[in-house]
Parts: sequence; C-alpha cells; structure tokens
Amino acid sequence: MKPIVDGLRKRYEGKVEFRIYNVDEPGSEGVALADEMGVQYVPTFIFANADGSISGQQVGEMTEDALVARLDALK
Amino acid sequence: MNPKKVIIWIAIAAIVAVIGYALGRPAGGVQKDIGDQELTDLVAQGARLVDVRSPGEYGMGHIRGAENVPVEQIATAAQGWDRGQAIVLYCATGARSSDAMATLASMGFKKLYNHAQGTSGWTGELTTDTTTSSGTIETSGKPVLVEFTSDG
Repeated sequence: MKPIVDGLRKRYEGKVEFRIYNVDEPGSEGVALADEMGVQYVPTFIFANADGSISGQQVGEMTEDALVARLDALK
Repeated sequence: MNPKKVIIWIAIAAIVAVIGYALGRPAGGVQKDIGDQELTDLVAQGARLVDVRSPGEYGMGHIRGAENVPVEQIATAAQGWDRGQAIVLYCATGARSSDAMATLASMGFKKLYNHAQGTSGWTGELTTDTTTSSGTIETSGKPVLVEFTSDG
C-alpha cells in the first residue's frame, strides 16, 4: 500500500491531511492511538471530514480507485 | 428382516447423526442464519457487524455500523478479535458471509450469525456513510486520512 498512499499524499497535498502511523514501532504514538481507536488489524484506514467527524473506516488493503473515491467524498 | 436388527440399525443411525451434528458445530457455540430483525437486535446488544463484500460494494451502500472486511481477508483480520463476542456477517446474497462464518468457526469463534439474504434481501436502509465507535478526531480544518500500517 505504501506506494499508493505516498502517491495520493502528494496528489491531495493541501486538500487532505495524511496521518500515517506505523504500529510496528513499540511504544510509538501509532500503537497508543490504534489502541484508543480500537484498531486491531493493519492496514486500517479512517476517513475524517474537516470537522473531525469520521465518515468511514476500512479494514484491509484498498485499491487506489477505492481510496480516491473515499477521499473525494470527504467534506 | 429381524425387528431387533432394525431397531439396532436405527439406534446406530441416530447415534451417528448426533455425533455428526456435535462435530459440525463449535462446542458450546452458535452458528445460525438470521434475518433483518435478529441482525438489528444482535447489533443493539453489542455484536460486531461485518460486511465481507469488496470495498467497492461496501462503498456503494452498507448496513449502518458495519465494518468492511472482505472475505479473503477475514482470517487475518479476525486474529485479534474477541472470540467470545457475537459476530454478525453479511454480504450480497449470503454466500460469502457463509464462507466467512465457516472460516471464523474453524478459528474458534463461538457466536456466529449469517444474515442469509444479504444486502439483496435487507429491507432496512443502506448508507454510504458511517460513524465509527471512535466518534471524532482533531483536525486542522482539513479532511484527514489516518492509516495504521506496518509498512516500513
């Protein structure tokens, strides 16, 4: 997924903020946040609107088209 | 035929049937097909609701509150799940969710429910938007994509 996500990060620069957390780093912010949000599987994507409301969550890999569709739907 | 032999064969057949039934389901567990109302009731009682269709199908519309775990990823995704929690599975017609139920049963999950008719038979609303149990996150005024990954 990394190449796809990295490409989309550039494409949506200035429009969507990308926060990537690596949960393989023990004691990292990512691990703590994953626990807090109840994330149990990687990759998990969480899509949030500008007001902070979460519009959706996707467990498992996604195609680029599916990611683009979800990003374009964010408000 | 000797009546005693008939009775003995019937008894043997009954014992085999009972053993077969017992082996076919998890000890102390539940695996059953359900309809709309049972799905709604189970979710209200805290069951995990899982849509095992593809992300594209899920994006077109899903039952509110469902998380999307495509059937080919269910075994990996479920490794960290609570095996005592009730899990409700659905797909488009009940076939993929039935496969997912069999996979989870083999992993030791005890309370498994398959919405037999899937989204094609669901009489409730389908939504393209969901709110997760997390509620909200802080943003800087722009939409956010959060990815939890193990990629380098």
